[in-house]
Amino acid sequence: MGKTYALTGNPNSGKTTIFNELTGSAQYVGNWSGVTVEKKEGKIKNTDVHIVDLPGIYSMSSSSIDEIIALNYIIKDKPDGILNVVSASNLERNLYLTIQLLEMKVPVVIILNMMDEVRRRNMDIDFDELKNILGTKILSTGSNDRSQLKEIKHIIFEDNKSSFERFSYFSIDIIKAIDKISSIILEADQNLGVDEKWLALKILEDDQEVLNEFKNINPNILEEGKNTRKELETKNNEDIKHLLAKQRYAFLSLAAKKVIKDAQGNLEKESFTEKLDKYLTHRILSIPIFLGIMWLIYYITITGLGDATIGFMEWLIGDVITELAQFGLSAIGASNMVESLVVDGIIGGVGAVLVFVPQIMILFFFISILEDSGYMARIAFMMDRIFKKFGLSGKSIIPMLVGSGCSVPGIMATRTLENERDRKLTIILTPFISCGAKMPVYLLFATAFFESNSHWVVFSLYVLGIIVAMASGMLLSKLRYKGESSDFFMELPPYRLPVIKSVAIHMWDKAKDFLVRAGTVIFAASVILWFAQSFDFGFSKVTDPSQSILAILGKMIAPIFEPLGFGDWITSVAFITGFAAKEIVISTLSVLHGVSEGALVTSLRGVYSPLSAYSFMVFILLASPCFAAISVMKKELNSWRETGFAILYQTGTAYLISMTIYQIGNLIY
Amino acid sequence: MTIIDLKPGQSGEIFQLDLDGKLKSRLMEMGMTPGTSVKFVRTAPLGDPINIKVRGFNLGIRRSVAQNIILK
Repeated sequence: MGKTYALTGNPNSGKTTIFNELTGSAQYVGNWSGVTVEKKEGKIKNTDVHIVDLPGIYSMSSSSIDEIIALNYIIKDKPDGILNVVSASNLERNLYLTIQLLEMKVPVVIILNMMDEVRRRNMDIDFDELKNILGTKILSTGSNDRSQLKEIKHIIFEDNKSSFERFSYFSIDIIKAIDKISSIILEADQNLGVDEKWLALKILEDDQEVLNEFKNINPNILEEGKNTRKELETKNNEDIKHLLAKQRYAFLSLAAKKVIKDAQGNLEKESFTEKLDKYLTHRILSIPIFLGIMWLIYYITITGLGDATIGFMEWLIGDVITELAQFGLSAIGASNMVESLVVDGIIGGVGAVLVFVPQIMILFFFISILEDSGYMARIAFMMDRIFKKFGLSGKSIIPMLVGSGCSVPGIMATRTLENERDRKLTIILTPFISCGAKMPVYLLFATAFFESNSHWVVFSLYVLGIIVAMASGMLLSKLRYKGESSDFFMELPPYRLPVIKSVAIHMWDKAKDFLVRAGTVIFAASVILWFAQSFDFGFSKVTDPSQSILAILGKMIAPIFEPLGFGDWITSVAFITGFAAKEIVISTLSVLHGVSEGALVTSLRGVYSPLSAYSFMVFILLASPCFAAISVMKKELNSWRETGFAILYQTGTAYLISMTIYQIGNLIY
Repeated sequence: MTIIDLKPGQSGEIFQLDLDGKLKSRLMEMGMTPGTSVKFVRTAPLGDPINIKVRGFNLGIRRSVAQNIILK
């Protein structure tokens, strides 16, 4: 039988990098039982060893969704072992989680990461001493040396009772309380499936999330726990949770002193991160630097590299592949109808989207660099003041920046927000930040209608998205999500060079999503659209697409969009198909205009004026996101009511703003 | 005296956290327990939040929280 190990660790401990290192390309994404939050799993190459990547957490106290997920996984799924990634450069805080794991009496092996960072500062860690204190096996790694990770394949989890005395660092009265409650648990003989002393501790702490998992627990035990807790809290004049944290840290301070070899007092000296932060969070310089970085990312993605790759992809799909297909089809004597299906339907529809794959990969490359380098946390730190004014926390900028790649991971990234109100609001606002799939729509329309100013037009859309998100934050926090935003606090992790492998895996994951969509949803949509516009309700081939099934349906909804400037049936259909995935909008236009990506520009000019084209882009930018994003919104909001509100709010806002732009524009011109 | 009374670069020792239960727990779990040394590193460019250093790592917290962290 294969073994399953859970990977745990603090945020910024390098856990994800280690996960990628261990599992490489053999990763898959699933869902956690109970909650539909992304769960990453993988297999160590050529073995039967599964690794489950638990969310990055600071503590096992079940006070955030991530902590609850990790805790539930460990107590319910009972992995064969826990691989605890500990950052050697931040030992005390990382070991706080470790001793909580050891308190659970589960098998733990420590992966002591970032050893290179420690040694670069002329410090070292006494492995034997650390092993002696914790009683666990320790594998040491750093970004320059991953050799010890290979041992995980055939690791044996030792019994860590030997030298680590659980709870020994708690005061006598707490230890006695744990003993008392645990003996009552044992007497009750309920076979609860977890260590009784740990459960006793959780009863003492009154950890509701954990206790929910043990509903059949004897109420007398809970009553006893409650009384003991009250006694302890009155005696110490302090909350039990705070007492525990204090006592654990007292133990860890001593442990760190014994373990860290720091002869020259380097820990107190200024690190590379602190030197860099002098500039990157500098009073005056930091804002221009931030704007400069954002502009550079935008510029390279949209105009620099983006333009070049689009040209290449258009040539590849429009010229090479289309001609090959036409040549091949006529060689085997395919009918005109088949040729039209393949060339206009499939290549036209799928190809219109594939053109943008390299550009979307570039965008994800940059987002991944921002996240992995540690700069993202600084952005949140710098922007908190502004976001607070709009009823949000600085942390809300992270989902939004991630959302500029794709709203789906963006919405999931809201889990780091502690406050429910902030989280809901950020989920609803994130789709206003233009995603990578909407980008192709702007690029197509901007090139078609605004030629020399096209880059400014696209830029204006991104800015509009941000303005609408901010204004909505202010509006909704006054009307619907009242209350204060949470007290921002956030670790500013050390700057690190992003690991190429992790960045590449991230980029490939996203490109794969996009390609899979192109091969499935978009392929199917293109074929269906081609049929629906080639035939009428009597299923006979139409010569004029405006007599087709699609046209008749499209014309029914088209009047709704009349005040926005694009009341033709093709645009209406494109908007509806855009629910499946935003890039389908151009596939739809391409198929329905019966032209390839290159010639589409010309036929679009026949349908829209620059003003109605801009109004259309604004509508695509702001209106309800695609199904994938809607379903993640539903999962994270955990309410159809809230989700329905979000979609209505987004689409209503889009409608009003597009209409205003079009109507006012018409008066001026 | 609280954290915001420190000048950038100065350190102090935490006496107590005058904060509500949940936030207090979070900060204590991250190592901000009484007796811990805390350094005021710098203020964010727009004046809030501030960057402090505790147990070897950097943390951003709002002034409104920092002024409730009492130093010895």
